[in-house]
Amino acid sequence: MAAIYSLYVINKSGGLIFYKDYGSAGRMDTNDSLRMASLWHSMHAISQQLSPISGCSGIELLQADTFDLHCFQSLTGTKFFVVCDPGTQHMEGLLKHIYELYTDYVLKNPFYEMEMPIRCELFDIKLSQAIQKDSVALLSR
Amino acid sequence: MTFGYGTRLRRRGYLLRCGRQVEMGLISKKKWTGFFRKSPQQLRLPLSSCPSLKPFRASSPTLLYNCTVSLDFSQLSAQISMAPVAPRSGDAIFANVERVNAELFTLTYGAIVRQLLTDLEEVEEVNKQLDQMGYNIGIRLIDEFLAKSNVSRCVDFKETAEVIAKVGFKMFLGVTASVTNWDADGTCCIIVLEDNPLVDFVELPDTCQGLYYCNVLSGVIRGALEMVSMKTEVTWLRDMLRGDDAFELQVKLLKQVAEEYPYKDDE
Repeated sequence: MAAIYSLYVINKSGGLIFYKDYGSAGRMDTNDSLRMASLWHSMHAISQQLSPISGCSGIELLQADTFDLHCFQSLTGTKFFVVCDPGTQHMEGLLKHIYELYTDYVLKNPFYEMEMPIRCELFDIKLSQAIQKDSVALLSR
Repeated sequence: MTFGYGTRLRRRGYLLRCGRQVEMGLISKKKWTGFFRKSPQQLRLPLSSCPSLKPFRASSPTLLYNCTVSLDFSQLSAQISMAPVAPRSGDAIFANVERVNAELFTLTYGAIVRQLLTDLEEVEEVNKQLDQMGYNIGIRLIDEFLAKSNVSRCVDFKETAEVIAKVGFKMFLGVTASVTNWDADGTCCIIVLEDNPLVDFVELPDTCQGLYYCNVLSGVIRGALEMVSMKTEVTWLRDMLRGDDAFELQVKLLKQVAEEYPYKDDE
């Protein structure tokens, strides 16, 4: 299984509402993760402006030497992104699945306030399950 | 910067990536156009023809090829990690989601309305409260709808209304609605519900004649559309509980707030 380092969820105004490390590499403290989230939010917005083609929905993949960053933005403006090993496959499918988990276990939680940091245990549990599943299972989805 | 790399290039069509080496392109029907880091021969895809292959931007560090190629989809699916995700029909989603007993749902809703009438006393206040409750549901429900239906951005408000009626109502209530009476500029229409599970056992007493029993639904639509940047006004035109022969919801698009960056300083 290729490694996923971390997962971020940003609300539509660019605030980090969820951050979790998976694995030992690439850990960040709270300040760095917040910085990273707002940086990504801005870069994403800038990329939409830079694109020569209208209707561009922003960066979906950033490839670096030591990691890949896959981003998915829902039509409501919430962004989900994972940082993973270079070349990790099926991340679009995973992000889509995480979006479904978010709608089920975060948005349906009556005590979750919209746009606020996510503190939902069920979401955490389901998320770890989804991320630990091997990529074959994700592919067959 | 590689041109549009990692971004979706066009609204229609699908972004494809084949592993780490390749790169991307767009599929529209049977043509694959886009910008590739490698020539189609290097992609090792079952390409039947490469009619218009030409280097695109030689000045960038990696040579990009702009090409349109025809593809054989039967072979392609095995090689490409991300197949285009087709929007799902309302029936298909309804069949897959967890459901509750319809009677339990109907009776629970009835109990809520009853309790509101007891608490608030004024029928008008109850209408308002139901609408607000619906709004609160709608702003959350929209994400579930988008996540599970795979619908993409609608081209215009007409498409939006159709999607609500055909996919949305089916997915969450198990009924389909129809859209009629469009006005000339396509911003106002009527959604007709012939079947409504909320009212299965309901008869409005004389004391509640002003009550819009299903007002929660109009709130849901308003809330959901607001989250995808459409300000709407949703009102009941006809109500079977008031003796009409169908439920009719008028949906009027007031304003479309484009998501624009950067936000202006004074906003």
